[in-house]
Amino acid sequence: MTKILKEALGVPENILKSGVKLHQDILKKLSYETNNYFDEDTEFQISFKTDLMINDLNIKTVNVKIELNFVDTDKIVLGSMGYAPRYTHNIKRFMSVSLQKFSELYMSISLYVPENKEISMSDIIKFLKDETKVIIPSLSHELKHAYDQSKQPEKPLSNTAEYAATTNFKAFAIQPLKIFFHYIYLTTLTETLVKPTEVASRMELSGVNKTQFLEFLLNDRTFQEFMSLKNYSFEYLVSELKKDIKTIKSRLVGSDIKVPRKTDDVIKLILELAYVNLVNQKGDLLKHLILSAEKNLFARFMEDLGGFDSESDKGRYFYKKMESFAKYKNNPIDFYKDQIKMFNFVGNKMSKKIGKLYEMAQDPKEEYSNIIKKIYIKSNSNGQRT
Amino acid sequence: MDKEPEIKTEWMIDPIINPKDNWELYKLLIEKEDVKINTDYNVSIK
Repeated sequence: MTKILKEALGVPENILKSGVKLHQDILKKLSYETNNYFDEDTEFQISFKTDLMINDLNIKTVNVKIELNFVDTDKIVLGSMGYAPRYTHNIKRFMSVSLQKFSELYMSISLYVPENKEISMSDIIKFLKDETKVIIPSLSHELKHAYDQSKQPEKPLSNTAEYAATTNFKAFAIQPLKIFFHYIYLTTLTETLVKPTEVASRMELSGVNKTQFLEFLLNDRTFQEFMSLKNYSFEYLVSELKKDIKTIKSRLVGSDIKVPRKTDDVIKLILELAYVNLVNQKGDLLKHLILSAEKNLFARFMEDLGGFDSESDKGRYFYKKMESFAKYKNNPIDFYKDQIKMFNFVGNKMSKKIGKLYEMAQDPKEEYSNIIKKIYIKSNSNGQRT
Repeated sequence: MDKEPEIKTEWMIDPIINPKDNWELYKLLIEKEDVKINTDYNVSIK
């Protein structure tokens, strides 16, 4: 398949091979530490030299932070992975500016592990090997974030605040509300750029050919999520919230907020309050980003304490962005309705885009000829492994 | 005293478990302060 076609599908050249190599590198590095045991929440870092190519990007050093969270589970589970671009903030332009050291990758792997049990490094290695088909696509996902960052090394501070606030918003631990905010995360440009690579990685690891593609696609979790987005509606959100009305009421009571008598009013209130709290979270993060760029420690302290002078450049920027974050202040319900329109649009677009990965699936004839080639190599290898 | 701009590493975390399929596990990592609801905007917005 041509490089140009793979790029058009959103899968940079060599990224899938690099995901596999990164997995092997991590296992190799961890295998030197097999005498380690853990029995409480821990994080540790491994660093190693490597040679990962992603199109024209060459990653030569990798730093992986591994987090172990001891929780009530009976087996090890992959909770999340993360990527950390390193940058400074240009306060004159209110931009995050990458340090241009794209040859060095910082990432994280967060695992849930069973509490009341000692976990050995060998247990972690075994998990990372057994779950190859989950781990490698996720590593490829993080590599694609790194690749995208190298192509767009600057971004506005407000975008960083908005992405981080939405992704981290816990939605008061109300499940249907959290699913809604999870869907916002899925529809960000940052995520839609990496999803085809993640799916292509799963496809390649499973050796899916063109005749198997449809079955693979219909069972793929990312494809299923985008199909859910395509069909999501405001009425569905409300009906799901109604099913969880007890939790919603207990959250309101827990925060000393008077609970309305009618269910519809309770739903309306929790949606409005979630919007207020999301705006606050965006504002807090933006403030933190602007403050962290201030060189003068005294000025930083004063602004942290008293807020920005509304006549200063920082103040003008901050309050203008706050107005933008809170543009649905007078009708927060419209925020949800507009987001859902976006879900439907992105769900439709991304399910089609992922469907186009069919072009990358092996042709059964090609697969057959590859099998013949492998048999030929094996039978002519004088007993050596191929 | 002036200080050089900090090198920031803002983590972009991608949840693998999701709140739809793995809620029991997902909510284990939600802290008490995450369920506290504020009723007002932190800053005055025009």
